[in-house]
Order: sequence, then structure tokens, then C-alpha cells
Amino acid sequence: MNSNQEAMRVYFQSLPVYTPAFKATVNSVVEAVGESVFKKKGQVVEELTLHNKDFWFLKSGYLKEMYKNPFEKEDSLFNLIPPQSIFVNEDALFNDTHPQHYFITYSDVEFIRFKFEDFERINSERPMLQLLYLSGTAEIQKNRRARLLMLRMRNTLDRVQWVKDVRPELYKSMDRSTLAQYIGVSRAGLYRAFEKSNRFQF
Amino acid sequence: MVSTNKSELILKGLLSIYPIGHDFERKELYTLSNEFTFHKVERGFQLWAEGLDQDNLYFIVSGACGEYLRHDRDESLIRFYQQDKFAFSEDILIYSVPSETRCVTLTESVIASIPKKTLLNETLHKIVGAKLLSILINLSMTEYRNTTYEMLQSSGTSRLKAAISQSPNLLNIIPRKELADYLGLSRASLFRALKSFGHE
Repeated sequence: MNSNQEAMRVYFQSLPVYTPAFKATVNSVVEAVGESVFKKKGQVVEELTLHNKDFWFLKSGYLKEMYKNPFEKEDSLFNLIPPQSIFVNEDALFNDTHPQHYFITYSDVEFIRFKFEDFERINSERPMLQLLYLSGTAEIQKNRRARLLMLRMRNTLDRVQWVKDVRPELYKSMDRSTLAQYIGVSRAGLYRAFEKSNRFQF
Repeated sequence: MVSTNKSELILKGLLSIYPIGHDFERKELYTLSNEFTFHKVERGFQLWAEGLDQDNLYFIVSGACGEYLRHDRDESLIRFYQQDKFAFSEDILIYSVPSETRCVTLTESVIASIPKKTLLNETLHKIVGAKLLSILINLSMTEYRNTTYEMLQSSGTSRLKAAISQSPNLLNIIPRKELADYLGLSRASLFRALKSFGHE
């Protein structure tokens, strides 16, 4: 087994839903994963902007998921994807439309593709894959709900504290500009909040 | 069972989210639309509660509903459902776990509902049931994404603009107090944002 397969197996085994009953299904999935793609920091990842329904596993590094914000001059951060995560182009996978989001490397990254056609093939042979898929979407929903609660907090420092408590791995990696976008405040607003409270990010 | 006119509303709603691949699917959706039951309810009626309860798929025939999530000692309006839209707790309907949220009507409303059991086991061809379930997951994921877009805006005015761009008749369907809660703004900030739109 190569290191990509091992990394994905470890990922699946760490999911709350995982039991030994998933072993054969996970084996089929890890056998189908492709070679690593490496990108340097600051690049737009072309592979991810093309229309595809594939599943992607970020093995190492961080990716910024960006979108065109019609109410701001610059494109905005939608999410910061940490290592050891699976992510998709939602427009393509869910709505069969061209991706509206694009991805920029926030550090050097390594990621792996799991093709949608392999997902469909394995799903037809091993219906337990659907349970893994559902647990993945459930996890995303849960995270989005929690983040929405944070985005409704009226105090900027309460939002910062939420990131610190709930997503410490992101907090440690984000610069202030990225943190401001992640919590839905302007950069100036974040700076003012830090200065007023005499507290700083780290 | 419902009258033809009412079931047509639901069929139209189903066809708006379900891409028809085969003729039998249209027929199945027509059968499904006839299985919904209608209820005229007052403001504050609870569609589903926290915990395993009311595993229905709802269709908002008229009025509006709000979905609340409890946190600490408070709760927040995280999503709302308006006329001609489907509403459901994905926790209960899709993942079969206790619901983290509750959903109540924000105005006097007419709500149609169908139990999960009917939706997935008895009425529908398995292919249609599975496809509908998958569509509901996608719908829910997309709605959460759209709500996140709104909440990522850094000013009250931009949040309001983003919300209105998603739901053009927002100001007509949600009371101001709930709207302020939904946008995470104080009532004073909401009124300032509304003023910039010429609404008060």
C-alpha cells in the first residue's frame, strides 16, 4: 500500500461513523485513489476549477476556497480547508453546474483525487459507501451550522474566540487578513477590535 | 389526500427540484404529490422540534417558517423557508438522528406534509425515492452555503443586500425582529440598513 492509500485509510478510520464493517468498502476506495498532485503556495489550483464531480483529499497544507463576492471589490474567502480533509466542487457535484468557487494554495499542498466514476462504480458494488458519503455531508452540515452561529455573534472578539476554541488548527495557521474574512468582518474591524481590547491574535 | 389544485402546487414544487429522467418518474411524483396533507396553522406552530420528532417533509404552500438552533442559553434563527419551498430537518429526514434544530411558522401559514415512511418506503419506486433523498441533501447543502454567503458580508447593509438577492421578497415575509436575528444584527443596525434601501 502506498502512502496516499494509507493516508486515506487513516482518514476514513478516524470518522465517527467508522466501524470494521466498512473495511472492505474503504479498501475499494483507497485502491482507486490517484497519484498525488503537488502545488506551491499562492497558486490557483487549476485541477479544481474545471467542471468535475470528483472527491479530493487534501493530504497536507491548507487551501483557500474563494468565491466572487458581488458586494465587495475583491473575491472573498468562503472557507479555509485544513489538511486531512475531503472536499468537492459543490456546484458540479450537487447541481451539475460549472464551479463558482476556486481554490488557492495557502501553503505548499499535496492532494489526491478520487474520481466520481470510481465512486459510482464502488457505490453500485458496495452500498455502504453511501453511508460514508452521508456521514461526510452530515459533518459538513454540522460544521456549517456551527459557523453560522459564530457569524451571527455581534462582538468581533467573540467570533475570534470561537475560531480559537472550535477550529484551533485553523486559528494557528491564519494570518489576520484571512481570519477577518473567515469570521465575516473587515480587516480594519478586526484590527480595531484587537487594539481596543489590547489583545492580539497569538 | 388533497384536492387536485393543491396537489398541483406540490407537484410543481417537486418538479422544480427534481430533474425528470424517465416518464415513470413524473407519474411517481404525481402520486407522491397526492399523498401530502394540508394544515392551516397559526404563527408559532412547530413543524419539528429538537430530538427525534415529526419526520416529515414539508412544503410551504403559503406563509413562512424559521429554523432555530439552540446554543448556550439562547437560540438563533439560522434559516427560513418561504412559500413554494420544501422544509425539513435533515437530521431527522436524511440522517435519522435527533434534530439539533426546531422549526416554527413565522406567520399564519398553510403547510403540506408527508411522513418519511410514505416518502421513502411505501409510495415511491425505489429509484425515485433514492433520487429524491439525494436531491434533498443537495438542496440542504446549497441552502447552507447560500446562508453562509450572506453571513460572510462584513457590513449590515451588505448582509441585507445578500439576503435579499437570495430571497427578493424577504422583507415581505419575515417580521423585522426575526430578520434582525437572522442577519445577526441589532434592531437599530437593521433599521439603519433598511433606511439605506428606502425601507423602514
